[in-house]
Amino acid sequence: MSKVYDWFQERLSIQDIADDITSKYVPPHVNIFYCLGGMTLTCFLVQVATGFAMTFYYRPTVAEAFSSVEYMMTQVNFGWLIRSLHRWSASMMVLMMILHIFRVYLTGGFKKPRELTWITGVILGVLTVSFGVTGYSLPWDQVGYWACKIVTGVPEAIPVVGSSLVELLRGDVSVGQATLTRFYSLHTLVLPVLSLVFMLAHFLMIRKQGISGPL
Amino acid sequence: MVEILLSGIVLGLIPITILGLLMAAYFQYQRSKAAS
Repeated sequence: MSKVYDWFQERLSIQDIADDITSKYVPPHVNIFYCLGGMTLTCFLVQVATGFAMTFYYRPTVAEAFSSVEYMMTQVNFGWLIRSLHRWSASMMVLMMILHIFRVYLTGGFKKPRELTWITGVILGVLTVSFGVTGYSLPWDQVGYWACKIVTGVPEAIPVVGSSLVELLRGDVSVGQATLTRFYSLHTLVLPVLSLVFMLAHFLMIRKQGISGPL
Repeated sequence: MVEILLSGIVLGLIPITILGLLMAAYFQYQRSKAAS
């Protein structure tokens, strides 16, 4: 073996990791629909890469958000491509997630002993939708602004705590800079961190229990 | 705003996936019936 391999093997016994990976076989009942979860992950990775690139140009203020997006789309080299990829990959991530839920449900993948994998999946689903809701308003265009106003107004229907919840979401009694700041912070920090934690749990459990069996 | 291409992808892939999953389940059922 190469010197580099020996160096790492001596310190981290990397052969064990390689053996663990290569010892897993794909059972015969697995079909193309078992790829949907991986495709959701791929879309998420595209979102991370393109989203990170966009933070270089996006400005989360009510006065500059729209013009910064406009600048990105018209002036920045391949800015239109990065943003379009982010937008399309967002839609595809939600779609792949829905199709993945169909697959898990129709193959009984949520049954014992995989209940916790299903629960972390449901949480990841809620996080993905929250990504969509917060991201939709970030350009602060007409459609984004009004979507934000409607969505943050929904908890108003809850008795007793409704108004306080709306104020918590908006950071004010009405939609404004505080709301955009909150959405930006949720979209670029809170939700990604939570997603990574739950994704790690989701994947580790899949790894531990293996792929679900035939019907 | 209705995005035609996106609507087509979404409304096309959903029935194809459900149909494919049900067909795969049927083939699995046929195979296990033939084996027993």
